[in-house]
Parts: sequence; structure tokens; C-alpha cells
Amino acid sequence: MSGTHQSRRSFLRTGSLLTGLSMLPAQLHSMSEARMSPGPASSQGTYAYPNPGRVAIVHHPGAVLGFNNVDINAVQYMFDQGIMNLTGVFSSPAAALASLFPGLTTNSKIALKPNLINSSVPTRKEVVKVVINRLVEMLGGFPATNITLYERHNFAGCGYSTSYFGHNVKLVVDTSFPNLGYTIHCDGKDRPYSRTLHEADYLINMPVLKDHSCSTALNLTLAFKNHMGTVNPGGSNGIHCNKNAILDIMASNVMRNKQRLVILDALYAIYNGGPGGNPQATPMKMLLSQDPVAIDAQGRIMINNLRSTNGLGPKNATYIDQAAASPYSLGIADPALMTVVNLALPVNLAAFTASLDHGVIVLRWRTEGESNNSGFTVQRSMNGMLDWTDIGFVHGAGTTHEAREYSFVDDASAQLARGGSLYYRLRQLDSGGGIRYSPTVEVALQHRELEWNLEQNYPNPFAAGTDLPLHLPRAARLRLEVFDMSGARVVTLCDAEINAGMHYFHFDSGDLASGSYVARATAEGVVRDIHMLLLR
Amino acid sequence: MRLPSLLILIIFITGCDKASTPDSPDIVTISDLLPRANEISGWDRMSGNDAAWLATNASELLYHINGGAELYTNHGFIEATMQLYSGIVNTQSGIECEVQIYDQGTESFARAVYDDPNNVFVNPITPSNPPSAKSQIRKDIFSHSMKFVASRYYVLISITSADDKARDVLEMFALNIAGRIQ
Repeated sequence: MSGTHQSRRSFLRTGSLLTGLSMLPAQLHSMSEARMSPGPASSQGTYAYPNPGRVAIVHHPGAVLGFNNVDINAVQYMFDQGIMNLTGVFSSPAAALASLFPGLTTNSKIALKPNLINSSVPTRKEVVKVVINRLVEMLGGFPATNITLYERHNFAGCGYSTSYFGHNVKLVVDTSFPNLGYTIHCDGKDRPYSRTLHEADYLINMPVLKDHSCSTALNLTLAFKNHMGTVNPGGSNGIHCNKNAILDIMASNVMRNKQRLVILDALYAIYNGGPGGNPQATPMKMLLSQDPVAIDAQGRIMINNLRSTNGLGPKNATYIDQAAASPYSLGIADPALMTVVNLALPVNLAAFTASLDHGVIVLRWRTEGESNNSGFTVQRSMNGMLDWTDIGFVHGAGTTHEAREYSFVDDASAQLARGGSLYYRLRQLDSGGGIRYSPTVEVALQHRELEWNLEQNYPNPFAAGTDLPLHLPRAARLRLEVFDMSGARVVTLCDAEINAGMHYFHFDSGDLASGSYVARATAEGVVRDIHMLLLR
Repeated sequence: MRLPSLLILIIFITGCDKASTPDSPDIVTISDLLPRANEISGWDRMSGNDAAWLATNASELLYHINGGAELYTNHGFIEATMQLYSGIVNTQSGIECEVQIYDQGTESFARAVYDDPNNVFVNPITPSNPPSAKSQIRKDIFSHSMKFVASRYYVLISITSADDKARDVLEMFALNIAGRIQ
């Protein structure tokens, strides 16, 4: 695993002086937001949100498999690595997540705010699910019923449901914002906000990487603009495309006290003409931060890099710089002042298969890129759950951006008699000591009378030499010869009693002329031929 | 492949011109400009809450498309409608085609939407059978989109396929809609 690691202590030193204030229970604050009170003076080096400028950016090149097709295992891995590196808590992802919620108990209520306005590029349901998976593990078991998602739009259109999430979380479509006595003061008015957020102790803000057609001051829709929907953006009293309003919302005590984490879903992106439309890029990244200014500033960099690549001018989104400056002082917008933990996951395992082939099990896997990859320990299990045994090691390519093919042969002859299944997985080791396990693959063993087989030589055509694979299901006397096309025997490669298993016989072409040759194997009264081509 | 499609379309559009005849409903509302289910062979209307909408004022449009709304409200927006269709592109089923039609009041306003700096098509492709003089296609990583202006209408069609044959589908929808508008 690459990236800059900090100790928990040094990590906390970068925290905000305001953390103590932010840790006050939300219930202690007024039901009605005070007039906009900008954060403390930036000249004191303090900001409104904890751990200003610290951002974890996780990239997994296998996270997106296609349109509306995401590898949730990759996303879970991204979140787990991201949250542990963001917090400096490495005991478990759930412990890392819990560390962001001061005073957390099993009675606490947590709100999640995804962005579902564009069902083609929403906050992916997989991203929400992996967060929920860890939320319910907090404190040894956090009640799913205390977790509520709120958004103005139809959850079902984006694949959100309690059955999909696998936990009994609540999905609340907040479309009306009646004044029930709790407001956020923004752009000169006290405005009602989401009841779900009001009743929550903590908030996780989960925007998507998209640009926006609002004015140049507000032409990205990231963490700040995702609060269109926390406060009613529509109607005659709406705040749609209102830069002052979104700054005031993020500066409000409601947000300061409750918003504890921003997760920017950058698996897909829209960099031009958003926020509607289909995906225009697949950065396959997830950004995590407690600082909404820093995460939006990093999002701006990503969007503008995509725009530059496609010949488009930059999006200014000046609200980000305004949010960082006095009097708001909400966080850090200058990348030079940030602590960015870039986590490029070491290996993108694109495929991992196992198949039974003439009594041996052939494992094949492919990587689409590797970073500091030492290699793969191949492990086998009889039940797929426990008792994993190391059966071999295959060296990795170190660092490469090119696809690599790997294979490993496990002679399962001894297992064939028992039938059932065998299970395999890869334990990938990077040069920094990081470990990652592949998915488990199963191979069903079949009871059947196996015949021996001479397989096609490799390589073929060949020049200096080639290998002839031959499998014997049981010990037998084997004769293996090579003939030229006139029928003359060129060489006898084997004439002996051979043990059961996979054997590879090497044929050295020596000074033979180019042309076709036949390899003939005889065992148990059966003759098998293969044709080979020698090209010099 | 495109010539036969064009011939079929010409026949098809000729049929569309009969929209005001007794055996075909008149075009009364903006929703009548949308192709009917399977009117374009193999392209059925999808159902469900998110498969169609009608916005007759800016507030309703904001609800449906949020950040995209000001592109239209800045240029005379009157009303708009959307319909999702499902069909096949080059043997791949389950492809979705989304049609959005915006009545901008005047052709000048519709052209302003088309030319808005926030509505740039990167690396635009000229349609083989353009529905109007102002029409472009863009290809994205998983999809194609087409925009065009016909009279006072701005039309945006998106299809969830990056296959080149998806452009034929876009053009069929576009010519169908343009034929109705005319």
C-alpha cells in the first residue's frame, strides 16, 4: 500500500482547535440557528471543521466494470482503506469510522445525505452500502434503524432499498420542508431544513463528482451543493444556485455540529454539461475528508483536469475559495496546505479463475496494473472458510501499468478420489507489507474414470525448443517419441514407468530443419499424437 | 447500414405526417411529440416513477433536473417532458434511450440553449441524417447523446450505449420527433 501514513498522534496534531466545540452534543444547541456567525478568524489558523485540509483519495482501477456496474468488493476495500488512513485508526474500519463521532452511543442517530438527482450518475448505491456495512459494526453492533438516508428524490430509481443494503436502515424522501421550529439562517432568511437531519446527531455528506451549470461562482456540485435538499432549494423561497446560501449552510452550527464526514463518490464523473447526463469519465476514486472545503477543492482539481484533457476551460467554483477565506474560514482550499493521502491500491486483479483440467487444477489470473506488488501466495482450502494452506508463491511484476497474466498449476490427483470441492484464493503482498486477499474461487471435483492425455506443445510454432504437457491419472509406463514427416524417429523423450500427475517433457530442436513434426505418446495400450511446427 | 435505416425512416416519417388524421391522435401537448411505445420498432416506453415526467413551470423543472434547469430557464423556458425507452442496440438488450423535449417559446431561445457555453458537446459528431441544421452527437464513455433544435423546441436524446450503432437509434428518434414538430 502506497501513501503517506501518519501516526494517530501526529495526525491529531493537525486537527482543528475548534474540535472541542464541534464535539458538543447537537442537543445543546439552539433549535433555531443563530444569525450566520462566521467561523473564527483564519488568522488564528483555525477552521470550522475538524482536521482541516486532510483528505484521503483512494483509487482502485477495478472499481468500475461498466455502465451502472460497480465492483462492490473493490468499493468496500476503497472505503476501508480510506477511512483508516483518514483517521489514523487502523484497528478496523468500523473503529476508524466510530472515531469520527464523538460521544457516539447505540442510541445515537446518523443521517446520510446522498445525491440522487441524476439517476445515471448518483451517489452509487454500492458506496452507501459499504459505509452502512461499517456503521452497523461500530460499538460492536450499531442499530441499523438509527441510520437514515434522506434525499428529495426517488431512492428506487437509483437502486436504493433496505433489501439491497441488507440492513434495516430508513430511507426518507424529504420533499417538503415545513417550518417546524428549526431553521438554518442562510442568505438573509431563516429557512427550514430536513427533519431527518434535525433529528440526527451526526451527518455523513455523500456527494458525487459532477460539474454544474450554475454561475461561475457555483459551477460544481460537490459537498457544499449537496445540501440543496438539506434546505429546500425550490419554490419561491428556494436557494437554487444561491452561492451565499450554500456558504451559510456549511457555516451554520447545525452543520458544524453534525457533519462529521464527507465522502465524495468519484467512481464516475460528469465534467461538462452536468449535473444531468450520463457518465463522461470513470476516475474510480473515492475521496474522504472531514473538511468540506478541502474535499471540494480536490474535486475541483479532478474536474478541471478532466476538462483540460478534453479541451475545455476550467470551472472556477469560487465558492470554495470564499469558504476558505475570512469570515467563513470553513476549511482549507489551497492544495499546498493540505495533507493528502493518496492510496493507489497495489494490484488491480481483473480476473481470477480456476478449472479442473485433466486431473490438475489450473489457476489463472490477470492484473490490469500493479504497484509495488511483491507477488501472490496461492492458498487452498477444503471448505473455503478455514484452514487455508499455502501451496505456492508467484512473483509479481512490481510496478507496471500493463496487463499481466499469471497461472499456477495445482496437482489435485490426491484430492480427486474424495470428490466435493476445493477452494482457492490469492494472498497478494505488496513491498510495503500490505496484504490483500482475492475473492475465493471453487473447483468442483468429479468422480470419473480419467484417461491420460498428451496436450498440445507450448510454444507452437517453436524454434529452439518446446514443452509437451502430459497428464497421467495413475502411474503407467510411457513411451514418448518425436517423428519427422517422413516417419523417421527424431528422438525418444521418455520410455519409462512414470508416476501419476502432470509432466512436462522438453523437446530441444537442436539442428533440425524447419517443418512439421509429430509427437507420439503410448501408454496403457493407447496411442496419442500431436502435431508440432518448427520454424527457424 | 444507415441507408436502409434512412429509407425506413422516410416511410416512417411519412406516416408521422398523418398525425392529424382521424386514425392518429393530434399533437395537442408537448408530450404528444414523444414517440409512442414501439412506434420505433423495438423501443418500448419504460414505466415507473422515474421513467417519465412533465414540467410546466420552472419549479417543476427544477425538481426533475435540478442543476440542469437554469440552462433552460435562462432562455425562455415554457415547458418540457421526458420519456425513457428500452430497446436493443447491436444485439445488446436493456439499452435505455431518454428523450427530453423543451419548449423554449421561440426558435431563438431554443438556439440559445443549443449554443449555451454550459451545453458544449466535446468532440461533436455530425449526424448522418440530421433532423435539423442545428444538430450534434457526442460520444461518451458508456453512452451517446444528441441535441438538436426544431422550431421552438430544443431536444436532447441520450442512449446508454457507446456502440456506434447507437447513433442510428438516436437519429431515428430525432427524425421521428422532428417530423412531428414540423
